[in-house]
Amino acid sequence: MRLIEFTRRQFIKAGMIATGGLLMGLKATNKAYAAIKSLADYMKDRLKGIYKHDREMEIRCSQDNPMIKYAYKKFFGHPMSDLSEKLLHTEYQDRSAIVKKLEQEGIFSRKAFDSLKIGYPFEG
Amino acid sequence: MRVCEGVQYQGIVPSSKVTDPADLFFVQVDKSKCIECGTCSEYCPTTAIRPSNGDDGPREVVHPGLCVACGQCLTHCPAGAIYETVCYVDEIFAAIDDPNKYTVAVPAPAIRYGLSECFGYPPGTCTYGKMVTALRRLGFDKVWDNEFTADLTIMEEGTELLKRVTGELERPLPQFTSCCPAWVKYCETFYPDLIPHISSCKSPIGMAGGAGKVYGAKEAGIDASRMYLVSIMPCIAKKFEGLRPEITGIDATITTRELAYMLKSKGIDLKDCHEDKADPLMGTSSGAATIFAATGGVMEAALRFAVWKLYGEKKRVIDFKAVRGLKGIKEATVRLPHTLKTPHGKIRELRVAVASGLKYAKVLCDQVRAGKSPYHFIEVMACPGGCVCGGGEPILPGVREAMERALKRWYGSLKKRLQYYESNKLLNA
Repeated sequence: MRLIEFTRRQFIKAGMIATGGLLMGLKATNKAYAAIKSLADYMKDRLKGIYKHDREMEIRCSQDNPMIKYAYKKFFGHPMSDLSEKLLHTEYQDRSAIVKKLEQEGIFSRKAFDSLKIGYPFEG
Repeated sequence: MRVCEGVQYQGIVPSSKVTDPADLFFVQVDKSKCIECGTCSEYCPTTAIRPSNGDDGPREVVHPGLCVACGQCLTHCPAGAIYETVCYVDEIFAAIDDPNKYTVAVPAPAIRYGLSECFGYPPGTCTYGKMVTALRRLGFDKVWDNEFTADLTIMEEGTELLKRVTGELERPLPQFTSCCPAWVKYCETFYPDLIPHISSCKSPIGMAGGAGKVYGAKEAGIDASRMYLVSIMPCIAKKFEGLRPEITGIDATITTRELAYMLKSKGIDLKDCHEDKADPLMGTSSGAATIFAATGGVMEAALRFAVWKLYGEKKRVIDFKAVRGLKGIKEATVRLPHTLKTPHGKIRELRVAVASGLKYAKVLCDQVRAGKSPYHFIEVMACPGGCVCGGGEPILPGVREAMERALKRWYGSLKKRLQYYESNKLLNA
């Protein structure tokens, strides 16, 4: 006795369901593709908003900002003065030791880091 | 866990005595939700987020030392599986209610463009005036603007650049911008030899912390020891920066999403807020500061300053369109005046480059390391598109749809799903 037995009608029915599923699947894939495609458009919308606001601003350059002029006149003196070096400038620290440690432990691979693909999925 | 604008928050509040914030996780993966699609790894510039065992399986952030906390994995995860660990929301609510604390809000340029999306405005809507009113209604004693310190950054960083070019300052060229905390951590971790190239200027919010509690407190007559300064950022890495021992004066850092959550939980709708202005002392700003939110913005602002400084009032250039847009690496040149003396008389034109995304920055870093970089000034933003597309901004509508679809896949009936696709078709058209 055979386990699976198809009549002609059942075979056609199964075929139609499979085709339907395939078409639905295609539609969903298209949809996903369209969603990824439109990411860059949304990002561009955000950027456009910024440049639009910039054009509408009364003052366009940092050096024309009256409160910046006031701050330098009243307090900081001039850019890179001793006071601004103290409050507005900083130093950085070498954090590469952790990378070396993780490389020895096999958690970080310099080769994988260097062969990372340049570019992002939203670029298509 | 708390959910702010579709993103989960674990709610760890690091004490201010944390010795090294590089030991902390800022994002992590909820393994039960991970669908193993690998999108996060494609956005990660450092290989920090990957399958925990071997080549397959749910992703995780393997070590905090490798993660630069840019949050690009979080904002692009189609399953909404990545959550933030650090959250200051409760502490800020408590500080606002505390009569002994003088709370100051410092919103970044990108907040006024991102917050609008959380309240139903289309992407890119600027809601500066409404945002200021909303912050006052939330209970902040003073609202300053990070755009003021962005202008201050340009004055300092532009001056530093010209001093490097003229040899007055003995630091190497090209100069890198220092505004992006994820980029700074990336450089410190993977390119420590390039640290002298980074501008010594603090980022705008670093300056707001330094200047706010000294200059701002003095001028506005506030007791600096009572001041509680909240930095509101489109960025997860700024939480790391706020904890750095070199950066002083920042008491708490929240993202755009957390601000939207705070406003909504107090019943404040941005649409009901009237137009207002930030406190002028540290709240007046220019167009050069507002474009800090976009990739190429810091560069354009610095060039507006540099051209004015080099040529004076007569020859003023405002727009540098070559550095705008979503391209990975953008370049521009500015001719220097003949009278400008540079060491060895070599530099005739200022060549600048902008990297939109850390993966592109790597190309420029490798050039500098090999001594083959043709540039004099390089802007790096860790997030493609700049701060306005940062890790702390509302999830982009395209990804948000995918997240919701992932949820619906499990519960929704076929009929519901079809209706959803149809309504989406209209939205996307």
